[in-house]
Amino acid sequence: MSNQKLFKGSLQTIILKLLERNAKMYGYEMVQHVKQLTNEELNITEGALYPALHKLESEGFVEVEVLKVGNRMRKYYSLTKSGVTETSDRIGEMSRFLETMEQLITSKTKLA
Amino acid sequence: MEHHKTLDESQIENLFAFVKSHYVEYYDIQLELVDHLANDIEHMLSEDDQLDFESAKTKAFKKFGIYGFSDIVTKKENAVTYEFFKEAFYQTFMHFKNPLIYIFLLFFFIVSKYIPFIYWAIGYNLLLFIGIAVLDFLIKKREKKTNKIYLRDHIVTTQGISICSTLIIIVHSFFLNGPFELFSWLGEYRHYLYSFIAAFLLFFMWVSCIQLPRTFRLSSYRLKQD
Repeated sequence: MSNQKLFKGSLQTIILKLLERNAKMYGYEMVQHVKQLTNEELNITEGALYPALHKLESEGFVEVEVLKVGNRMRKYYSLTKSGVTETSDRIGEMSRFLETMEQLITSKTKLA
Repeated sequence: MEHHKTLDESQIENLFAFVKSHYVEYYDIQLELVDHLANDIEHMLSEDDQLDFESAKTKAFKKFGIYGFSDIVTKKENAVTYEFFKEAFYQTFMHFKNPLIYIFLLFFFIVSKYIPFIYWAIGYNLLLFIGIAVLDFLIKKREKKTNKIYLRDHIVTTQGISICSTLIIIVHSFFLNGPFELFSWLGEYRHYLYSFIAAFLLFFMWVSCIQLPRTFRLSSYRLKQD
């Protein structure tokens, strides 16, 4: 539960990373993927996922394709060219942030 | 493991009605949410034989939180609206490279210099309002023909009208509440300001109500379906 807040801020980065790895995904698939990858530690909430996806779409980082699957339509998202660059930028940013946090938490030296 | 269950036509239709009843009027969002709910329901039904469709639907909907679908719709509207305005302002300023705008600037300059402000300001605003009303009528007429409304297309075609009418009202009330006192310190230079505002409004209206609805990126997948 306490993870949720920290997670929310990085939602867009996680979506971009998922799309980088899987090329083409739909919303429900992303929710399931994150659940599996984190052994159900983290849950993407539906109410946050779609706004994040739509924002990325309107910024031009992801594009949409609608395909007929069985008896219904499915909206697939994939990275655009600028989305690919954006993904590596954001991943870099995130790992630097995580490194800093790691340092901060594990540091044993006291400041005089 | 149970075998995977698939929802039938009528259940999908039921979901469309359900999503619509929760005030999602845009077709592109409807289909996305229907697919999401359907996936979730199918998953739940496959795991639990006792569960029926209606209770699974309620469970799936609850996952969207207290704001339900409305938050998703509003946030998307805002994102597209922001994108649209950024482009509209940018395109309007790009028109200042167009020689035509200088003819308008000169025209408004002469008008503002030789015709008493109150007359031309009211006349100009009236013309713009008539223009807006005509465009609004034409757009509404066209949108009624298709019953599927796509969020992006809807915003691109109607947002120009609403912002322009707001802008006109602001400028109108602002100027008619004593323009001469307000800008008297500008002296003769105030005519430059008036003509700039007049030309800007006119070109902004052109860009946001006529040019962008034609050239702005519409829902990319629309043509494949309809």
